[in-house]
Amino acid sequence: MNRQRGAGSIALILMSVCLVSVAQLAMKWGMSTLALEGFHPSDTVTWDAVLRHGWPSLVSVVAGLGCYALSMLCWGMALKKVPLSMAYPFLSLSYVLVYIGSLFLPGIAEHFSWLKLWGIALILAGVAVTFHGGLRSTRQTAGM
Amino acid sequence: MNTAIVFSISLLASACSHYWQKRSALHFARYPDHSLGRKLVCQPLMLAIFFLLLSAIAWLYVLRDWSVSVAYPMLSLNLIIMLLISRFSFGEPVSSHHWVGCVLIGLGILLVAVSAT
Repeated sequence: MNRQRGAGSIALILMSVCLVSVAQLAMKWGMSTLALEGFHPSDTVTWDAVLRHGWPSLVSVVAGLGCYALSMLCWGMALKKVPLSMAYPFLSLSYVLVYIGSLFLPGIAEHFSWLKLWGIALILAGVAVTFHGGLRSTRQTAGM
Repeated sequence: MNTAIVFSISLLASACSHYWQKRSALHFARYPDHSLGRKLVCQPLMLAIFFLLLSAIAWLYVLRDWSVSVAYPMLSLNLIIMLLISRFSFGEPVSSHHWVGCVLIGLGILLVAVSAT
């Protein structure tokens, strides 16, 4: 794999990781701020209220889903040139990005926790170990 | 419905989607002369898309209740499930470092889940 193609694939992977992180945060914010308590699908008055006041939340959810679809596209394109064993550890970086991002979600900011941080670190270590060494056997399990 | 149950549905649907994505890839490899249109409506791909949509909708429900910084890392359970599917469904070799990695991931998920209580 020559240098230029390699760099392009890594860029696609990083793009995918950023997109999926943004997607998760956007979906979370949207779903958490969407006021659906006491909502009846047949009640047109409530539909009106949801759309008039809840549209930022709806936009956030739809945008999140869109980013998710885009991230899958980038991921798929990258996987044509890069083995999964090289790509997947990058994906686990999104756990860190989502964690950091979740601390800043407006109105629903989540809490910092050392235990959570260590848990994410262990997951990253697990991913690194799973995909390290034996590239050949990992390429075979890859069709995920 | 209990959020943990919906989370499990999302996780399993995602695994099913990956399984059918792989079956689709195998299908395309077996029939390379099929037109694009015929490939797009083949059963494995339709099933892959169906399970993907199911997983996404269930995930939105989970996000209403759980913190995203807790729920999202727990999706790495998918990796463990996919490794099992690779081994027992597709008969692919899985070496010891894969299992060690799974244990580490499992422990990490446990810590993340506990941090939420």
